[in-house]
Amino acid sequence: MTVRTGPGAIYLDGRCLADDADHLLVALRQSASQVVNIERLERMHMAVAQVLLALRPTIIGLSDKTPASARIVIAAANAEYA
Amino acid sequence: MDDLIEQFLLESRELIHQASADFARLAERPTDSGSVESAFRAIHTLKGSVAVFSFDPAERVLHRAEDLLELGRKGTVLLGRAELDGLVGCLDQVDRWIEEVERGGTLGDNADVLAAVAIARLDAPGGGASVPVIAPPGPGAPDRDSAKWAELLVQRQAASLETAGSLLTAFRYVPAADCFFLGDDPLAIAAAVPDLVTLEILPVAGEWPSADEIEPFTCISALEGLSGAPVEDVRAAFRLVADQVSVTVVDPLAGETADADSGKRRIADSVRVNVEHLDALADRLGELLVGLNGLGPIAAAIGAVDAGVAARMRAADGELQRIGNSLRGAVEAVRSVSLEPTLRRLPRIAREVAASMGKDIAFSISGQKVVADRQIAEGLYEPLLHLLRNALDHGIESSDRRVEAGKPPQGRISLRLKRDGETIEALLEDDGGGIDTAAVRRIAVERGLLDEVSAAQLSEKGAAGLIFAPGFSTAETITSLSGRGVGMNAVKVAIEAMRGTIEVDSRLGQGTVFRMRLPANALTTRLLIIEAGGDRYAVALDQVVETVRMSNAELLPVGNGTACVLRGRTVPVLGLGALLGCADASMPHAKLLVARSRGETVAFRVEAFGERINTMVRPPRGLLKATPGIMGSALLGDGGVVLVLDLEELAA
Repeated sequence: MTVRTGPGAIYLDGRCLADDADHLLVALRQSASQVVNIERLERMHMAVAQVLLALRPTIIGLSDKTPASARIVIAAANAEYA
Repeated sequence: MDDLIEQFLLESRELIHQASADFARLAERPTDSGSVESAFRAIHTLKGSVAVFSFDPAERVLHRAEDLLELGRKGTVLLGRAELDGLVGCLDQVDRWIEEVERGGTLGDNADVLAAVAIARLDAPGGGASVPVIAPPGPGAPDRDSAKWAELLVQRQAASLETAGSLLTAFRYVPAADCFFLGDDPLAIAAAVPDLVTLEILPVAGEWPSADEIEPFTCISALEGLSGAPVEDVRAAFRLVADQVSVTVVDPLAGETADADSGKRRIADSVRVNVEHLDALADRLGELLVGLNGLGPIAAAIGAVDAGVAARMRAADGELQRIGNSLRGAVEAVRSVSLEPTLRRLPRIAREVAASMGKDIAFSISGQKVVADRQIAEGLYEPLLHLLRNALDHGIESSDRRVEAGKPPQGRISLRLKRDGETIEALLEDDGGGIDTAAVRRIAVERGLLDEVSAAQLSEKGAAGLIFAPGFSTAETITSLSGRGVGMNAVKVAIEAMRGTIEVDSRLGQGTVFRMRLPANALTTRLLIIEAGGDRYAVALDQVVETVRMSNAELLPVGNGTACVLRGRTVPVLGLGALLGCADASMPHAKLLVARSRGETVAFRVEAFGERINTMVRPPRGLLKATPGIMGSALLGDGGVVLVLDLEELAA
């Protein structure tokens, strides 16, 4: 399962493709904690990235293995644009 | 000179260089809208600058060029060869006026006439008339308002660009809303752009929708980023979605200083320093390094008295050497400049000289961004200029002769630079007529440079290298440019004064290549200490191919001299002591220093090899200057002074 709800967080594992955007959106709408763990994420599709940027959950699990695309999304979420 | 004028000259040259680069790209890709946009901005800014100083003729020329570029931006006119010739002609004229302003503060005589000539070239048939548009402008041709996205992007990313010293390619990718259904992953596409510096994801609508409003399978993002790769490479990354991407070139260091209120832009992180201060810094560093080199021998001497103190001293010496090297690297970095400003005048000069001779040439430069010590960068200009003029005068044939020889009518000259560790390599190559080595040998004999037998024994490369000899010229007529017989020798002397080397390779009828190697840093030289004729000397390590030890029996008498066999080739052996006017001591083994002289390999017999040091070499002064074979002198750590030998000159 690439999008799974676990204790205290929603986990994005492995390769999260376009279909996973809807699963993630549903999970976030139902989640009280609004925490997403990307420790085992290998790839993030643009559709998944958009959901994260729109809903702005707290993203945890950043490590050396975090894929570049996820880092870009985290930077975008943290940035303040004019 | 007035500070304002100085600033104007500096910025104008950069803008001219920018526009030249854009025109060169457009010559290969007339539909490259990014280059049209970039050239337009450069010309527009330049026009504003000249207007400040009321250089009206220049303003008129730039205004006309700007008009033509505006038509190109809108897609009304395709900027083909004729239009580009006119634009390049305008830019060349403005470049010449910049030099006039630097010399005398004005545009010089006949500025109005020259302006009229430049404008006429733009207005000539085929130069500015509307032509059917061949390729649609596409989304890669942003209009004036949407071009602002690139400026805003650079502003936002200013903190990330503090180490970016050169032009960047900015892109804005707005994927189609239904792209996910087509299998596109815009994030993966954008992340794959080569040499990516920054990448942002922005909501196309200006803000992200709420959790209730978002449609997960509709793409609502725009991706904007900056890349260090050229425009073509960035476009290639988006080739499957080209209609959704705008690409342009930005200069992160250009533009106004920071807005004091918003603080969103940064002032360029550079400081202007008087070169005298840089030279004084280098001198003090040299003295420090000499002092540091003296600690090693002291530690060795103490070792005979107190081993413990000697060990601590050696440790301290090691640490100080490390710090000294680090300091040397830092000073070298401060003194390092890009070769770009040195080389930027060469294309225009090539065009003008070729035009004056009625020759058609294409001149290309690559590797201009290589950095070197400012002394090297400045010293390289004159030799390169002379070699370029020589290639145009003697190398490239007329179009008719080229066609008769089965060559394309347009001659090609290329200058390639690259950095190889601590060495700069510059190759100037042409596809002209090449060097007639038979004629060179004959003239060398006629001028008494060498006898017939020696001339015949020279390799092709060795014979071609005779053009560097003083007083040598094969030109039948002395033109205003070259052929006075001083040029090539002067080039060699200039290159060697910078501790560089120059070689020539040529094939008759096909072309010539000059290969120059120079140290990237002028501060210190790596030297090998040797003993010859009972005394110590130094040689620059970059002159040494290798050191060899062999038994005396392997030295063979050849005629009046001696030779040995190295790697299957016979190499002459010269006694260094004898060359220096001393006696060569007889040694149980032969210690040879192998070097190259005029394209040939030579071995010098020495008495001993000593240490290797990195220190400053003082150029020869007074009597030493006139002494052949002496490159300079160096101060050793023990206070001794050694002469630094020029092996190539000694072998000649």
